[in-house]
Amino acid sequence: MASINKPLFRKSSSLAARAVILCVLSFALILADYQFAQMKNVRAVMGMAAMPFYWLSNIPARMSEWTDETWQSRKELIKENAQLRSESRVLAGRVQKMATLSAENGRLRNLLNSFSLLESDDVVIAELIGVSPRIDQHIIILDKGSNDGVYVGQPVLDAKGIMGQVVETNPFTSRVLLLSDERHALPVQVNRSGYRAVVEGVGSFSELRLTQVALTTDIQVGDLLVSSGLGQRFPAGYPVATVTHIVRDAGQAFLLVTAEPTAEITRSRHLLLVFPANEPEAELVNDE
Amino acid sequence: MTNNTSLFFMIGISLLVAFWLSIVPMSVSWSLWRPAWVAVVVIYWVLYAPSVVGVFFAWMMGFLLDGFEGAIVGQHALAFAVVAYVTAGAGQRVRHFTLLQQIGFVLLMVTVAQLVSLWVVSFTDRPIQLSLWLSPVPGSALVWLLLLGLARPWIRQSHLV
Repeated sequence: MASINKPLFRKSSSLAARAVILCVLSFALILADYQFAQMKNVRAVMGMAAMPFYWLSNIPARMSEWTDETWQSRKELIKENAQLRSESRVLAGRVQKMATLSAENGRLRNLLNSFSLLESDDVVIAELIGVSPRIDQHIIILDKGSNDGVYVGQPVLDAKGIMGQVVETNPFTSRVLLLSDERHALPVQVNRSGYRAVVEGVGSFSELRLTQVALTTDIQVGDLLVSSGLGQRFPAGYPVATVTHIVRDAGQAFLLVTAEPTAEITRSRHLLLVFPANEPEAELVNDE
Repeated sequence: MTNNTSLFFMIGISLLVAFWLSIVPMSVSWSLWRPAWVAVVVIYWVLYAPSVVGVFFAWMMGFLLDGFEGAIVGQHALAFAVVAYVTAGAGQRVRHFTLLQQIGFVLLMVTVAQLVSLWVVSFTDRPIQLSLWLSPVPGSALVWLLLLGLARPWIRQSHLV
């Protein structure tokens, strides 16, 4: 006990001094975080310390995947194989049609002297290795980083639609801001009518909101919203959400439109990082 | 000497586990209640190993947590430094508190840490919900019980405190 008592009295003044110094240091860091873009790199490096932990947290998921793969019966495998084959046939059929359509689209656009939009984008498959623990931000962590060519602002898709965009990279991993995050907005257009709008996250995984949709707009429940490519960040034409709810209140200036993301935001583990064919300028993307 | 090494070992392991638990994926409804693991573990060691874990150590852990969570750099560091300062100052008394009083103290400290974090985040234009920031508090009391149950007999036995 004596060994504790003694330094306590001696230290008490230096304890306060140290606390004050550390608080000042924290404020300096916080301020730097707001002021300087370079702090992003610092954060990325700091995030690398968390890598082994995320990897560790991912083990149960990997294990279950592994056991699923290893202990599947032959019967199930054959069944799955058949299913995949028929799926691939259907898709191949659709792609055939797509080729003629894209050629036709190209010719028509040539007639109008405009660019072809149907160039296919390159994709890289990435695996989800972590989810941000913070409730107030919808951020996931992928296993591909700047070493694989991932850049800040890069669009991320899953098999069904747009998931979000890369906001931070380090050599081995990247953080992706999901489109359901409150800070995320994405220019879209209604696939049926071509009406353009901006879809914003509200902090719920199953709900997005369309902002400033005029009362007279041609929009219906069930309409598919696709990316319009106007923000220069997301390539045009990928599905984003389907309209689930429209409130027409004549007393309000705008319609209240909610939509549900087509991407399986909370379930997809294998995602696609898109390298757009007509790539936006890297400089444009750098400011968040 | 051996006591010291095993103490360092205990501190290291407990913090590793705390960091891991603070990022381990959980379903949305559960992670709302995720306790402030690292904060509670730091408070524990500031109380029961004041010769090793002080304000600076706590600050470092907060700094690391910022990196882990991708938070504003300095956010948790500031919160942990404040909490560690108060805890270290009151340590002599808190060590002799009853269990309920200690839990009350921990709840208060975790609340303070969360509010400091919230305050820092409020500098940004990000929308804030107070309930989201205070929901980790109740779970932290359970973590305190867990820590006392796990570590205290061991600490007593090895005459560290």
